[in-house]
Amino acid sequence: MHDTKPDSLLPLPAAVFHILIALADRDRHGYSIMQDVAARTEGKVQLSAGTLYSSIRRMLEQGLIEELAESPDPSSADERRRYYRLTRFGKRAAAAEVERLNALVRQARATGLVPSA
Amino acid sequence: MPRAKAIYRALLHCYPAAFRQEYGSQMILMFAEQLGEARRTGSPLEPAAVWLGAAFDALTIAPKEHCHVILQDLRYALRTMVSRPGFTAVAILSLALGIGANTAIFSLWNGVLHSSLPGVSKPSELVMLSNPDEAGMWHGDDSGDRNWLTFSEFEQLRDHAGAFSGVMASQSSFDSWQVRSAGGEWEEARGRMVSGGYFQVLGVSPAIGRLFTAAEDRAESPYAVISYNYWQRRFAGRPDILGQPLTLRHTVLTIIGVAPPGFIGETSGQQPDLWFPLRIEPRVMPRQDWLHDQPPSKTMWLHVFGRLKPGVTAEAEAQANAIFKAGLETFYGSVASPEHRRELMNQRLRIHPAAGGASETRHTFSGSLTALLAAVGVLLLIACSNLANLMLARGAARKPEIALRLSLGASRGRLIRQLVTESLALAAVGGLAGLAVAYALHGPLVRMIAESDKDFKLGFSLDPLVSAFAVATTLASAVLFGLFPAWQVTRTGAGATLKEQSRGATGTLSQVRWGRILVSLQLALSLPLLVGAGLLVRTLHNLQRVDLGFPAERLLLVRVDSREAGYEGARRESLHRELLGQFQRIPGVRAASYSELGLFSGGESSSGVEVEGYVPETGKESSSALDVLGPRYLSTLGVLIVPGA
Repeated sequence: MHDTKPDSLLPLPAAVFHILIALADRDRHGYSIMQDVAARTEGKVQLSAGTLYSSIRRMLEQGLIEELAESPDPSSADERRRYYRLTRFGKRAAAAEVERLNALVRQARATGLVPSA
Repeated sequence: MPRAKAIYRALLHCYPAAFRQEYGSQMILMFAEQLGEARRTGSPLEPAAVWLGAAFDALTIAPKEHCHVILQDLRYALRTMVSRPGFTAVAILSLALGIGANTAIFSLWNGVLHSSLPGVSKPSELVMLSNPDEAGMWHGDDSGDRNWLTFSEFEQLRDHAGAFSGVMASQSSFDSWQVRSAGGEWEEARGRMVSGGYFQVLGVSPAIGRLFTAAEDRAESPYAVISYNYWQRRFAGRPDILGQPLTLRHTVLTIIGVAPPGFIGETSGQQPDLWFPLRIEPRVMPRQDWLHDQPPSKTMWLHVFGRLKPGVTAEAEAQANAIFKAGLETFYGSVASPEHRRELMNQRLRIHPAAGGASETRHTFSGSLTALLAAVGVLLLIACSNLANLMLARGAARKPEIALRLSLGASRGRLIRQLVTESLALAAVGGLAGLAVAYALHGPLVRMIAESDKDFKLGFSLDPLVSAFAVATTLASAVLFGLFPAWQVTRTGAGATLKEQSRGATGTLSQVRWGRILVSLQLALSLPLLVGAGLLVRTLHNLQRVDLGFPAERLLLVRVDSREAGYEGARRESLHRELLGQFQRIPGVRAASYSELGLFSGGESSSGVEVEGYVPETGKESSSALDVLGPRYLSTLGVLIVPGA
């Protein structure tokens, strides 16, 4: 159980939302998160080490992600890497953010700001 | 790559130590991979972009992380303060008194000794050709450095001293005048006579109307300029005040303008209500012409200010003295014997910096205010030393908490930072309360000075220098009482402390020793203060018992300024006789008398005396201090006459 409501964290900073998306399908280490974000955005979003770890520090404190005690890939050559996993609360926060963005898109379409799909 | 990693590792020092320890190795790994990838593209721009990103992070992300740590520490500090209300109250009270007393004295010290004249343009260009520390009037002759100048000496300097872009004069003493505005009653207003160029040399523009010009020096112009305060206080800021008559004694002046807000004139610590031209002096003070001198006597009463032309410094004094000496030659040339003349010619002007204006108070209180500032500084040191001891004792009680955090991996630096943040939070609250204490103390301190100089006025202003002093004092206090205990408390290892705790010990030997040293320091600082305070009380006690030469008990003193009230000549003498008769008729009065100067008035008068059979060697020896007395003056005071009757 987490005391904070996901809504209280909205809107999520862009870097935080990108990290949540990167961790949605599997647990990743920092460099893997950075590569995934760059690949999904076709290189438009490049997370720097400072931005990534500052966001990770905040997300750990907020309970959006957790650090794994051991590497999920025992065959990994580099044991120094630290892996992160999305928490249930993190999933709820991401869903709330998606809902917020959806509502915004619906409003933009309803007012004719952008054409309907 | 090792070199690039080393540079990046150095860049990581921009981040808080805790963040660096937690994520530094991961960031270096990630940076090395990013850089390797960029290099493999073959483009020199890609690695440059990675470096740029790292530098940008250090400038933007690192400060945010520092803010995060500071906020975290502050939240913890506030929780700690609330959880120990007794300790917090004692600490804040001690700091408020210490910082408040220091800020109040510093504000006064700065206001009296070091601040520039308010509302004056480029005050650093102003110099005085008279003595800034003295105010008054002297009729006769003089020698050595001049305190004040005569009207004609001012005129010569104004017209011929090319080193100055402007020269102006003002009445050195600050007088109270009986004034009456249209349809009003007689009332008192503080004001002084000034030359036509007064406002122009000070670089002042009017709030409304106009100010004096050179024309006011050429002919008698019955005009007055009033201060902004007086305009608001007495005339409710009415714009139709311009052109209104203001009767000063028997002279009707026309109000032509209002000085700008905040402007107090050329003398620090005084707040005049009005200014009027020097040229009308004989009109407002009948039978006392201070504008025209008859050799060999001069009436010296003016402060003279000059604004130096750019780049002119040393030659100004030489030039002013050449003009001054030429004036003396002309004045004394025909009347004095060669010997007496030589002596009279031994007069000179000295140039004094005048950014802070004239001030008798500055001279009188310079030493005592500086001593007082030092004393309250020591008082703050005692308060800090006391608090450091309390922090040390509290630190002993917090040992288990600190040991636990050390054993959980917190670095000593991180804990010191957090403990110092707690001290800073305490000092900040103490500093804010100290400002309230300083504001409350300012009034009594100004009243203390005003006991010696009744015209002294100084408002409490939190100008940038006073604010900077308050902030610096607060920070210094926090470092003084916080840093050492924090260093001491986090010194022992976690394991050792936990063992001590299990034995029930509450403080290490080292802490006990440092506690004793702090107590000794407090004693060492308190003792001189205590002795100084004791001596001061003893001196005040002695002053009250000093032998005045007459019995002061049952002696009452009444000051009457009949000249100010418009009485002159025979009317004045008749008033004195009548008042004396009325005083003598009051039941219980054994005797009454009067004197021109009065007791302890600060006034001084002298005149040339000739003693039969005695030939004075120099002109000085023929002058003697005197006072004009009413009948039975000495017997009324109870002064015994040794020979004669």
